[in-house]
Amino acid sequence: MSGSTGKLGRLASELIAATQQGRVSWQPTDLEDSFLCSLPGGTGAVTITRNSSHSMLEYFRMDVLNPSGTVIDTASSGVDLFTTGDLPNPLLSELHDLARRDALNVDSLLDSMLDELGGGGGS
Amino acid sequence: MLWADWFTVTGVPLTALGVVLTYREAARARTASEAVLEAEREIAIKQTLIVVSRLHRLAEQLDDAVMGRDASWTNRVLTAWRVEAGYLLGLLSLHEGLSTELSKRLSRSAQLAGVASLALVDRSTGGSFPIPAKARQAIQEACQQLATWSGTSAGRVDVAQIERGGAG
Repeated sequence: MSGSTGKLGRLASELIAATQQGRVSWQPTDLEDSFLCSLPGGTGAVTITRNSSHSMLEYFRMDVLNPSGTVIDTASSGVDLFTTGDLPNPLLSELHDLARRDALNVDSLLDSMLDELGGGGGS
Repeated sequence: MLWADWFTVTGVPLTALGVVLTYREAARARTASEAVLEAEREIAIKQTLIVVSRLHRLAEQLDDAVMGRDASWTNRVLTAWRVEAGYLLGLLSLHEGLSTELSKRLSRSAQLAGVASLALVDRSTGGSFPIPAKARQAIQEACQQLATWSGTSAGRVDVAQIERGGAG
């Protein structure tokens, strides 16, 4: 694992923790199944994208953007059926799932639905 | 009293006079350097206002490109927005830092514009014209913030010019 990939792995892990703790928020983008998190200090942003259209295997890609939106680094969990990417699939898969839930407000929507049906909310 | 003592006696007020003159020179130099800094700041604000007007024009062009469903034009406008926004972010970072509300909105619009460009490039594999709705919304929000900010900044430049007697 190269130095940059090591840092990208750490970035993914930190983002998972920060999302779980509500320290960062995600928003949908114009790219299908892709979510963006602008870092609070204005240092840049990260997008996490699920890519399943051009391959039989589902894989994830994490892009790091500078403040003006240029992609400055990328890591993925796979390239095609026969090659593996820079980062493990479960790590990016978990980040994507958390990002999607946050960006689409999934948990609060489910809570509202449960409240409406009289079953009570839950976490 | 020896003649050498007279030197000491007259030396004290002369030294005091020297200190006063040095202090006055230093104060004058500080005022001059402050004036230079203020002038630099005004130039930066004027440069910034020019970029702001270009960004507003790009936002209008984006609407036209999207309504025309012209993927290539839309992509060019989104790229131009990113370049201009990046330039403005650089100017803002010199004077106001990157954590202001304006910088955050500007940065987010540039980042979403970057992702929207990827979506447009992805379209080359097939599919309909992907309307860059998220990028467009972020650009409109940034424009609103820019309008407020440029009004305040233009006011600051006018006040500074009035204080200096209407020069410039």
